[in-house]
Amino acid sequence: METNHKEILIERYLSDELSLTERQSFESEIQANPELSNEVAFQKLVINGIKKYRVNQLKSQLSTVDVSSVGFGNTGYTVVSSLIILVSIVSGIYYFEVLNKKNLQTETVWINADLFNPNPQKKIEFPVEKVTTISKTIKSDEKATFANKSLSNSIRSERKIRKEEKRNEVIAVVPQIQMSEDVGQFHTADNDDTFPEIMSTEQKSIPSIVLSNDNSKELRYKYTDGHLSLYGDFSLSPYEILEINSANGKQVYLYHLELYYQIELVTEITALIPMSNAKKIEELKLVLKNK
Amino acid sequence: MKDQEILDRIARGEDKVLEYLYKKHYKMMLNIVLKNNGTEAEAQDVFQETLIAFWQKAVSGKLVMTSKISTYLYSICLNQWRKELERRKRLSYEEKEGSEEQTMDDEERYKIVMKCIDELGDPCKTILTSHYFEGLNMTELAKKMNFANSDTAKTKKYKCKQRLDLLIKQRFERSDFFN
Repeated sequence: METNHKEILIERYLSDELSLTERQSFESEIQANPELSNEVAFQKLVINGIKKYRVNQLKSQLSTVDVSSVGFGNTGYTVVSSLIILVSIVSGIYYFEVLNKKNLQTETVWINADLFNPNPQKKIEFPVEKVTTISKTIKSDEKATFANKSLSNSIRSERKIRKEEKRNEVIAVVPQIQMSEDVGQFHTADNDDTFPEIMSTEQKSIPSIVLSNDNSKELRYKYTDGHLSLYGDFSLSPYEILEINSANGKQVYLYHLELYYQIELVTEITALIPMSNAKKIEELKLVLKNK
Repeated sequence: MKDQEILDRIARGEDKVLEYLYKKHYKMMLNIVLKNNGTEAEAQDVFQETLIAFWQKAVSGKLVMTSKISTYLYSICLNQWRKELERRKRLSYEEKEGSEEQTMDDEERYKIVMKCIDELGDPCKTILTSHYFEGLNMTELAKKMNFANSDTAKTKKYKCKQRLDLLIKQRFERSDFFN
């Protein structure tokens, strides 16, 4: 027991676990007892040897780790990181452009409006909106046709989209129009040369939409003799004209800023009142989606 | 692997984490030594020792991390390499002074100690290194070695140590190292 106690004391001394008093007392004893001094030196050697043994074990383990590719690995990591950054940038630019394109696509919408046309043999294209803040010139054309058979409606539309540099202001464009006195102040585009291609080849008859930004917050309209006149600020968002041919005859709707309006034949300027018939709105949403 | 996960795994004694850290920071450590008059072999040596010292502190719960592991390893490795360079300077001075004999004796003694540990075999090797290097107490040792309780661990550890001491003393007497 005494030997065991001595060994524990030596171990605690070597592990620096003795209190100050204990250590001082033990050190005095070491100095006075050469045998104890030898034993302490021996234990120190053995314990350090055990530690060294484990260090060597771990070192051997680490020496088997293949680090030949680490240089490459890190370079590879850098390359991969760079690629990820590059792809992110390219994706960013791509999506920016696509989104920009999508936004721009709504800026000038030309609708083949034969649905409005009292003379179906004749065809017209007209712009329903023309806009606004664009910082650079982008041009592209896009045509789309649609048919929604599920509603048993015959709906056809052709869309031509043209994007072009414009000033930061709302411009109403009427390619060929019988101008109503109610139209008020609007600008024909100062670059009318963007439209002649359409006008010269396709316009023969003129059921038309006249857009007038009279700075009024209230949206109003007049629809008579195949002419739809819209009043108010439509610059915040593009609008769409939907016409549904059904057994009940033609019905015309306007979509603007998430709201749907039924366009009825009215000879007087009338306020646009959003529709509330949920079922009808769902139908129109579907039509719009398939457009 | 995040720092906390690394520390948790070290605390559980998973020495595979060492290999992960070694690979992860190898290039950084290599640069330290290569840029300071060292070779790749020396870099490996220093980095291995740094990493093992880190492992020892972490596994015994003596490590208080105030920075990221990468920062910690970088600074320790840099210091270790500086110390190594200083040691070499000092060594070359001491060689001139003729104090080589004592170092040789120590090296021989350690060789004998380690050879004896090797001869002990398992589980004594693991018991002794786990206690003296990893700093496991008897409860932790019992858990690691699947002993019934801490008393069993204490007895086993004591017997292993006794065996080792005896082996070493016999060798020392034969080699006439120990006076």
